[in-house]
Amino acid sequence: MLKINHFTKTYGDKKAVDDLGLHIQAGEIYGFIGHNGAGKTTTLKSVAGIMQFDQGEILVDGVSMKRDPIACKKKIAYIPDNPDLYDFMTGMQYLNFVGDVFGVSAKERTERVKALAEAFELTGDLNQSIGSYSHGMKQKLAIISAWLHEPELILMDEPFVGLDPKAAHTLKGMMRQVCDRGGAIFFSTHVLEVAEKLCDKVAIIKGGRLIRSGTMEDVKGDTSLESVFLELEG
Amino acid sequence: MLGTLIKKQYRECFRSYFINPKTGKKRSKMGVFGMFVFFTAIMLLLAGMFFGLSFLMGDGLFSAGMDWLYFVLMGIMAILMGTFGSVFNTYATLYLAKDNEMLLAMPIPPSKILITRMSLVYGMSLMYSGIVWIPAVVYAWIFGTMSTTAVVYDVLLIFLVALFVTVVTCVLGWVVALISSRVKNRSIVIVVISLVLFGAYYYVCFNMMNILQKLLLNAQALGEGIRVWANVLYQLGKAAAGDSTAMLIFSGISLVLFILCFAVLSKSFLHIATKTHSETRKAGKLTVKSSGVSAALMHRELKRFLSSPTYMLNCGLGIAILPVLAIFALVKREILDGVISGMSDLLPWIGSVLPMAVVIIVCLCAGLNAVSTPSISLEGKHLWILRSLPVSGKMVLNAKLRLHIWLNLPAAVFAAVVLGFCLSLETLTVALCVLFIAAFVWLTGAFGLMLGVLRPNFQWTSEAMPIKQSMNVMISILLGFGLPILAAVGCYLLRNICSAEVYMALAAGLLMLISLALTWWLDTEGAARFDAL
Repeated sequence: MLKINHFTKTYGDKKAVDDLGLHIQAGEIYGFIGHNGAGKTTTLKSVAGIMQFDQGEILVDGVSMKRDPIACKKKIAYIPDNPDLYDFMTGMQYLNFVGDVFGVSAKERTERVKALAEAFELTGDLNQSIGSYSHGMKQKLAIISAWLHEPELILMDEPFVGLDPKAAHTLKGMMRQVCDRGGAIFFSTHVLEVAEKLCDKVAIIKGGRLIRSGTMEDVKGDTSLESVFLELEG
Repeated sequence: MLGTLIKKQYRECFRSYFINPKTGKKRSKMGVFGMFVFFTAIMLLLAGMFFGLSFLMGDGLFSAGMDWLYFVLMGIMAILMGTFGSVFNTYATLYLAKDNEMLLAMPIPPSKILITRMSLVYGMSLMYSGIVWIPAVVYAWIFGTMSTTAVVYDVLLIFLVALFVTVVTCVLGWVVALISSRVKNRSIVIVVISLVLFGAYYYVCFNMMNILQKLLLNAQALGEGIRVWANVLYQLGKAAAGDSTAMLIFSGISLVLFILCFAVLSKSFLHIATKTHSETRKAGKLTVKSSGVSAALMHRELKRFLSSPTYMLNCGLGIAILPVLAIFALVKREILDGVISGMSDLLPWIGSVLPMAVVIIVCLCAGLNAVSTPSISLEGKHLWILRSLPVSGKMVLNAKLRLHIWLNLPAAVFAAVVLGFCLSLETLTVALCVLFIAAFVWLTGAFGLMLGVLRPNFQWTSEAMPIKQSMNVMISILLGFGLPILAAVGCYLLRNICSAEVYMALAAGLLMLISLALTWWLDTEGAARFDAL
């Protein structure tokens, strides 16, 4: 589903990510962990086509992000760590906008918005201006908009930050459903317990370089993910 | 603490002059110098205009020994200019700054945040009122008989008049905030209020000429009227003429008004600044509206435009002026006929270039509209949304350009057709006028968008920065003014070689070619640059 080969991104003289390689198969929830500034957001933004990169290749379902970004983006949904959505729209207007861009039919849109908004208890707020939303409500709206076109690959940067426990639980269930229908999830998190329980595979990045990756069992062995992470980061 | 806050406020305001917003790097010394030269040239041009006005006003009044009245009139103009220049910005500056919440979370009293915001309003007021007041006092120093005391007072009054203007604009900004926090469709309400103020401003300006005429005939009586009915202004005039008591009174009044204004505003600042984004919960059916990608992008642009009073007023004022102008011309057709016949006596060739007059009037109004210019910078922190969606830079830029044309063209065409009718122009001539105007609107939209792509500014905390304090918008509006004037000069010079109709057809063709080239650039290089932002 997603192949990242020799991905390198520099800011001025500093290498934010250096020669990163990751393969994410359909049906996998792939966790991406590392300390602040390790290069997680840079990698996710580059995979989402938001950021241009210097070297390497990113392939989404065999399509190159560099050569055909539009085709790649049609298969992707991205949720940033701080969802700054259009304050000048209502929640519903934003969902209509995203639905139009992805060509989601009115019938499908109605059904999905209804189901997703109910799942996140946002139905009553969708006619309100996004400017009046709390951080958590914006996060929920960003998640609904990401799921609206049923993407094959969902990229999320710290998706659980700001969500209430119920919404976080709902999101975890939805992530598994995406994988069950043949999609894939690639997300960053600092909550190692969540990563340990939820992810099929995990990658640990430090100073822009991949230092460990593989199935959860391979990476953590008999200890906890937290122990492995602290040992590697130390 | 206050010093730090004010320093931060002004650093933010002048940041784009020293730092390239795109790269975040310092501009070269030559770049900074060039920007300041350009800014100074514009200020000098405006100051020159008001110096000319000082000649008209001062000549009679100084010889009549009514120098104080001269200062009163120039003071009124400075206050009007200062108020008009700052008022549209004040509401956003005081209450809508993006860093309000961040500052309120710090151990900073809200009153200090308010005084910091007011200091920026004062800076703007100083600039706008100074453009009128400084040339006025320079004229008085050169051609009047001014004492040393008067000269000192005149310099002090530069700052006091700005303080007076700050009070007026802050109160107006506060009233707008109070009204808008209690109504739905806040943006539209603010625009309507502002347009009413704008109309009132011009009403006063037009009537001021009548007052001036009466004044010159009966200066003594009108002077007495001002002394009785507008004593603050009387004190201003007397102070500027060197009266120490009046100087004390005017200074006292200005300071007391400022303190009162600050006290009233600081009482409600926290409430208004934090309430701005809240609204009552709206229940109701969720409406799914499906459209194509292109329409969705265009609708998004329209929503953005309609959501911001600052954007609408500073970059779309001409859209409101054009129909008003057309209706005014229709209603006052006999005045228009009188003006033209009067001008025909003085300038016999005027009839041959009359169609061009329609084009110039409409284009000068449409030239005020720089809808496309700040639209890229206004993406700001939301840029990630477009970048993550399967839409190309070309599609986004096309939507921005189309909105510019769709908003401007109907109003411009309506005004051109009505003016053509009022001037009894042939149908074909009106059609050519419309063709030229359409090409002009296309050109200004594409040019503004090109500036936006080349010089985007995403580092803003108040949207007034990419709109009102932006070099891009200033250049766009200058083009909007310069191009019709250039076209008019060309029409005049070539009047014996070709008819106005032929000239307009050729000029429209040229403008369309340039617009086509600009649009091609936007579709290729511009789109690539946008994708790389």
